[in-house]
Amino acid sequence: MRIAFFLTSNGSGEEAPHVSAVTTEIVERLRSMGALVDLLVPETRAWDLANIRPEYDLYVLKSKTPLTMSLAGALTMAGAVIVNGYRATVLTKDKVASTAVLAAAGVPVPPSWTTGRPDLLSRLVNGAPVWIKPSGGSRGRGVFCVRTAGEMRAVEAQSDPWGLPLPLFAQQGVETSGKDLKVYVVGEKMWAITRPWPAVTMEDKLGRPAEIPPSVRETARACGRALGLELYGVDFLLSGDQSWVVDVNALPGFKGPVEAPAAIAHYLHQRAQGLYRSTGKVRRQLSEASR
Amino acid sequence: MKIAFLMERGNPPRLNPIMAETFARLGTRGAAVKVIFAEEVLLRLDEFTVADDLYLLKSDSEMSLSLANALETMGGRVMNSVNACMLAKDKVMAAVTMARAGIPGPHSIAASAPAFLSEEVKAGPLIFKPHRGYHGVGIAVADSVATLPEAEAYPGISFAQKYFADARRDLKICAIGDEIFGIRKEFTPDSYLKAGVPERLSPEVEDIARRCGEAFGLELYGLDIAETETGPRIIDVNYFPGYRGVPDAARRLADFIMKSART
Repeated sequence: MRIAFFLTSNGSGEEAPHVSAVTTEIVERLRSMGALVDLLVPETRAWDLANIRPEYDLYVLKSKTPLTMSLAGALTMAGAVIVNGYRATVLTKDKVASTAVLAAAGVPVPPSWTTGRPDLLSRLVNGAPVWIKPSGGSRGRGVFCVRTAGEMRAVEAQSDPWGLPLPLFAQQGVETSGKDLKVYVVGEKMWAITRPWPAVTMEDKLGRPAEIPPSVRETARACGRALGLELYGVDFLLSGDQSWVVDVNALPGFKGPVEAPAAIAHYLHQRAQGLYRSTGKVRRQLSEASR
Repeated sequence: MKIAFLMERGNPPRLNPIMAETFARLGTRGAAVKVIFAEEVLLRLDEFTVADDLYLLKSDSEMSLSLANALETMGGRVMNSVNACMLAKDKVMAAVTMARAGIPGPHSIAASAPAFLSEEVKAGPLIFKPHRGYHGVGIAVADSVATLPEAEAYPGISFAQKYFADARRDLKICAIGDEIFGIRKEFTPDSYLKAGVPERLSPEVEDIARRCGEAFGLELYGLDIAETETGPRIIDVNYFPGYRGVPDAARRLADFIMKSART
């Protein structure tokens, strides 16, 4: 059994991948189960696009850089098994699309908007904070909070390096009890940690194990089903009896729950053998069309 | 029958007369046509629902593709399919799609920076394109290691194709379902506004075009062709082009959309 992890570079300029402690444990466990595991950084070589074909039984889509995503899409088309799936990962990364899909699936998300025109955002200012997030962003990069009309006027239209437009994404802030709940899901298993919000120190970020209320458990599952995810995290903000989903991540760091690496290794080992074939409508493979 | 078009507003704002006539013809045939300029409105996402029977994705913007993806995932019908549009939009995936289907295209390479293509450029000129670009932005030709673009020019992905410097590159193909049309039109910064001259396609080119549409799963599409010494090569694949220069384009589009909406 051959398994490849797509990882980001560790930034040293060398070809070495960034491997977190959680990933290290997953890889060690897979190797002890007899799998051959390679850690790939797609950025370290040129790819001849006439010769893209699956060379592993399973690819693990941990990195989500542009090059990795395009290769994952191409490999999927060529029949590769990828966890999480390409379409599910694209949808989850895309806040504009995923927010609409989650809300339509009955997941409680704060009021959210998209536009290409920052001037239209002014009507969202009503004393409550509004979060402005880049649509395809991750790890809080480029996220900021706007409270006043003056601050909102300073929000600029987004575009790519060639001036092609990118969407603005705005989400109304919700009142919280000062804690968030990060739920991690691996197939049928689920854990949660609670953290002060916003998390500042490393200790904050690790959080403490927490009970998962039944309604939160159900909502986390609904997120995975709606987006077609297998290994994912859902960030909740709790406000009294109400819980809001403020972020969903495909293959997050899984920092916190000590049982997660073993469960992920087991899940990937099964998946590499062709078990748990995805069935949901988003999980369908990106495929060469056949009419 | 409710039909919605996801469109982008040009700069300056304009509406392709073929699209205007297509809307009118759809209206005459009893369809309620709605046009969504997604970038121009404040769209409430948590209340966004499938409200129309068919959505036509006639915009290259990331926002329109995101909304099309949401609509299709929520059970809506989108034409071209989101799968097909994703394959055409991403030039890395498009190159792999063509290679796997045996469709003649330029040799294509992807890397994280132009410097990885030093050996390739020694073998002949390369054309660099933003991997999700459109409207002809960000294109650069390199014919030596010294003329390779800077790393900052293409953040994330450097996508390059072998450049056919001596090839004729003014042949476009537009397809509406099974109907395939050839158009001669020289590329200029404003050529997308111009009509071009209809041209009868050779059976070979028509066959390649048809197979390309099938490989991507596209129904409404445009192809750019380079006519090289070793035969025609497809150098670009677009979903829902402008159809300028296609005879009776609006009538054909309205017919095809109406027929598709009813099945």
